[in-house]
Amino acid sequence: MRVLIVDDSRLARLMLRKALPPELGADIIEAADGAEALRCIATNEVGLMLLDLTMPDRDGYQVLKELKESGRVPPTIVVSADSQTLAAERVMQLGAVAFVKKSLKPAELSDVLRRAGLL
Amino acid sequence: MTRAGLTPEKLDALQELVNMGMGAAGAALAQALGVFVELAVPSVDFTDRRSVAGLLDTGAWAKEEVEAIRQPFFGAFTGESMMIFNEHVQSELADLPGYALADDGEPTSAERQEMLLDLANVVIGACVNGIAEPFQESVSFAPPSRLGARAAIRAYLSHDAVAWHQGLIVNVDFKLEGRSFLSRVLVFLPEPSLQRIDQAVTRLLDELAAS
Repeated sequence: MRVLIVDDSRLARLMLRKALPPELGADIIEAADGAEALRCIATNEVGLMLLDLTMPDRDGYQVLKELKESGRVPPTIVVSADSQTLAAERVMQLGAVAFVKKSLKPAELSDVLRRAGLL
Repeated sequence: MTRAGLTPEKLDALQELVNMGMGAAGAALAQALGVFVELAVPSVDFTDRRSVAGLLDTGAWAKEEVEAIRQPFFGAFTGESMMIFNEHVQSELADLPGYALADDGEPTSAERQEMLLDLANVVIGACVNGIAEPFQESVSFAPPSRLGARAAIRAYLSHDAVAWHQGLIVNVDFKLEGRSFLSRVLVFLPEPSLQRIDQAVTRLLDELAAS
């Protein structure tokens, strides 16, 4: 499965790479901002997107909104430090399948993938 | 190595930890005020304190009257934090769901000041703890105190008695959705704290590489 990790932090992208379960068989590509994420999706068949919210050059909300408008939202798990309840509600309305609070030990990612039927 | 002694990789890691702290602070602010908080990408830069006042001379802040609360912190990391509010805070704060007064009356000046101190205490606490917690370090806080308006901020930052001269400055902006309320949290980590942060970030990156 091709997995797109979108985060402006190199550390966050590395943590997410390591948190992905091996059984997913992930072929990982990365984007460091929202605009790059949209370009990646336009040219790749993305089976899963892990998306940060607070980013330069189009934040995660804008990425989801543009993808929703074009009817091309890949299965998306938002992984964000923004833990406001409304933030989670909004990204789900924009087509995300799950919202995970960012942490240094994102061990719950496997559970979330299973619940979302992606693993 | 940069002037701060942190490589770009370590600065990126520190910025991500700040991002997590900012997320916690934004959630604390949203809970306290009962409104959605728009978060911007935080910045982490090496600077001297006399340059800090210049951060209020750009963008939306340049034309605003401001009000600042300061709060030093101690422990694993020793530093200084400041929460700055724009002029709309005074008029909007009492109307926000989380701060409505029980008797629906207009808050007095003292009540408004108390609201700002409370708010700064919650947000700065969440922000600084968010930075320290991943390192399994604890930080204690002095009580927040009113610093005053723009001139007072400049005077404070220019004063030779200020304990720090240069270091890392963390800059986080919070905006309330649909309102003019704008606030900025500045966290100053002076040079003596940087060595500890450098060690903690190194440990974190090593653990991640080994995992």
